[in-house]
Amino acid sequence: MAEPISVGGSVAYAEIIAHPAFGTAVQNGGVFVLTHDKFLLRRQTTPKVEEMTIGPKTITIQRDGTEITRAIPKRMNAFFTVLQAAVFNQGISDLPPLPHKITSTSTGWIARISLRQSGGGSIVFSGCGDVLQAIDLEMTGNQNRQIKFLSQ
Amino acid sequence: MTRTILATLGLIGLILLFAPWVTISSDTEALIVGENAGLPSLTEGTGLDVLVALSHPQVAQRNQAAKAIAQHLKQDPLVSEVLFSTPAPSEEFDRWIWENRLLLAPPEQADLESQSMSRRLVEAKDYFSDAASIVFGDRFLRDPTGSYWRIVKRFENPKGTFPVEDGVWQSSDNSAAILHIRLVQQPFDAQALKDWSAALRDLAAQEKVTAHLLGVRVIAAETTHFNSAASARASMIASLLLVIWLIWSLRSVLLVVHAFLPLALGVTSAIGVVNLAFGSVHIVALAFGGVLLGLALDYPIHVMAHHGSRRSKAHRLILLGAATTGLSFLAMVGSQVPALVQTGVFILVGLSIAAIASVAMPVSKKAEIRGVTLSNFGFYLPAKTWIETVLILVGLVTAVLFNQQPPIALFEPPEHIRTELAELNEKLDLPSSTYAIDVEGETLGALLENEVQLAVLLDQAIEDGALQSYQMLSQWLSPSRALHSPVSGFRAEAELALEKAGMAVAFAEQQTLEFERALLAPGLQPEDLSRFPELQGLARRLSVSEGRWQERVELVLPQGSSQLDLTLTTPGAELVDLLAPIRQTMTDLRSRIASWLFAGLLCGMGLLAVGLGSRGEALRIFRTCCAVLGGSACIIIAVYGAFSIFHIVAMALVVGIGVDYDLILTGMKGDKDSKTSARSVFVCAGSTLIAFLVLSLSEVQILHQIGATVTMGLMLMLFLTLAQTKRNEDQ
Repeated sequence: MAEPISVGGSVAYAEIIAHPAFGTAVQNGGVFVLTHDKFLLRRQTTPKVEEMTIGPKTITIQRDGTEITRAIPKRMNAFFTVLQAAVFNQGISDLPPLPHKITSTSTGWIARISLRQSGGGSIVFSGCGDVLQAIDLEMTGNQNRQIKFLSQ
Repeated sequence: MTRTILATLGLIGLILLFAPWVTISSDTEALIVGENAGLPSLTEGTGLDVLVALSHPQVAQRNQAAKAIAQHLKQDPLVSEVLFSTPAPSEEFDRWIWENRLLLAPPEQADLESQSMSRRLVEAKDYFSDAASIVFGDRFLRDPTGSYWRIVKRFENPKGTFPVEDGVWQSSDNSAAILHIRLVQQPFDAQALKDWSAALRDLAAQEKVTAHLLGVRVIAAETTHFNSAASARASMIASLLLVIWLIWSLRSVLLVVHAFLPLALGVTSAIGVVNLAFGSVHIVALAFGGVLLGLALDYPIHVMAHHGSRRSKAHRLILLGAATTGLSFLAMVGSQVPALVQTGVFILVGLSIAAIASVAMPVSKKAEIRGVTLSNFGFYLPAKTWIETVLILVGLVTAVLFNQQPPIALFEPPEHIRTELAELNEKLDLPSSTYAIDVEGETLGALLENEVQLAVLLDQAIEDGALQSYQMLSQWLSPSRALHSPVSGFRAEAELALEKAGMAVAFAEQQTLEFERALLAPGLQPEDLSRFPELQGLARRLSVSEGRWQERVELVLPQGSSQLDLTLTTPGAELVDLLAPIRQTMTDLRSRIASWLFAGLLCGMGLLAVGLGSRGEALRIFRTCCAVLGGSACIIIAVYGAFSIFHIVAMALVVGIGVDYDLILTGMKGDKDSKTSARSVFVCAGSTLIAFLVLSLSEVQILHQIGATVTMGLMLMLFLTLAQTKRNEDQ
């Protein structure tokens, strides 16, 4: 199973968000780490510092000295589960059977998972060999979030 | 002997026949006439909810325990749902909120202008640096009016809900994790619930946290268990002392067995008949009936004390006494209160069977009863008639002038449960169980308008320290406003706003489509309250009747405060005393019991007059009984402040006992063996005193009140019965 490059237990990322309303895409950056409880922690450093812990049914966000826990809406459930599974191979057993397609490209491979039955859109994994390079979340309404894993 | 064996076999047969299908009920609805007027239900609504506080100083430890216990409880057949945080909204509810946003959080006119929209769009784009933007970001951009943003912010800081840490609800004093459990809807089984809560406490102890439980069923089960254990203890001690007393008095173990047999037959038959007629035996009928059937123990003793022709006279007096008391209690059928109707039938059947059994299976020889000849204590009381009349009048005046409202709880929870409830109240900031505010309006809009006005008053009360918090619909739903923005106007403003924000102007088309769709949404409808589980909490407070919307606003009072000093001037709002319906129910119950028992007493005395063939004799007994009631009333009101229904029923028992004693003492007076009759009354009085003195020492209020009232009433009854209107009446 392909994994992103991890250095000292953390995986650096850059998130590029494109939306039809934006002129220019929004870019965030930071690292993913695994907590003691084996939950995925997204530690964002730019443009604002914040931490998001992805639990089984909730996300907890710490930002500006405050903490907010939100229940994960069903339409986002599959994305968060897939993200956990992809970054640190966690919670793979929780994944429902999802329709998918893998194709080879000149730079490596692309695997597309359809989320039509889990809120719409699709998730595209791209990589080379056993290295996962990026995850693209193609959401309804032409919103696209790409998480690029960096070698730091 | 053959009859005794037959009776014993009959008793065993009855027990074997009834035991498998007798059901004991504790339904509160059986205590009221007509519809439930606010009594807590064990079978539906919040009656099935249990809140569990898991205390531990470390958040991580208690949260871990909460999750582990929740996981365990999901497999429990008694549990239908267990939550430790607000669940994610369903797809359907999520979409409903989005579609109805313009009505749930209506925009101001300024929110529809490009300047405000532009500011919102810039904020929305910035929000994409927040991880939560993956959930809400797209919708913030599609709704530049800010309606959806306002709804999300309200859910972020909901008022009146538990704070959350690491995905688990926390108590307001940050000392405990909270679990919300919904029990499955099935008949209340006190023992099963008691075992369940004990297992839950053990499980919490294994997880190294302390569990505190709050729920109608849990409290009812703990109270039932405590009362049952205390009652069993008191019954055991009383029975043991009674047996010793009777063995000493009757000088024979066999005679003691013989004395208990009619009582056992009476109780068993009464349970069987009531269960057959009503489908179950209410705990009140069992408690009252069981205690009152104590009378039946006297019948075989009176039979044993008499022989030959005197025995047939005793039989007649016993049957007459049982019929008088049974008829008096049967009058409770007229009260139409289901539990009391059962009690009336229970006592009539029990007393009749016991009296018939006493008469039908007499001991072959006369018992040599040991004891004091009670009539030796007879004394001359000048103006006895006047003294009795004064006692009646003083009792009446005291009852009218000084009798307070009855206590609102029939069965008080034990001390350890009351302490736990007080602790939980501090931890959870529970809504007041005494006060709430009812607000209403012709339409939902009118209700919300009234609530907005009320909120000003309540916020001021919070500032003044008179109130801690409140929960009201207007905190997350604003009154709707007419939107003066045609769709074309909206699109123009949206395009301008996008341009000002440096964003793609073409996106205005998407925003306008979403705006147009939201304008068609119907907003909150009455059926939505039952359609969405997410609105369950709201549905508990909100009701729509004949088109009028009403909400019961829950108030949290400051710690240690039980009074609310608030003057309401808001239209459609009214301060509600939540205990008033319960208080009214208990007052009605007391009045019904008292008036129907008195009516029954009159009928009983009528029967007595016919049975004795002397109206004067019956009136004399009636006067003495009423004097005892008057004297007892004064003492009860002086000690307890108010009559409870248990005091009243116990006083009726005193009357029953008094009638029996008077019949035997007076009926056998002048007889050559009258001293034996007086001795049998002494044994009966002794056994009654022993049993009820033990009950009066019980920590269970119902037993204490019945025991103390009967002990006191019996002393007064004996005093007046032994008092003679003429000197040396017996000589």
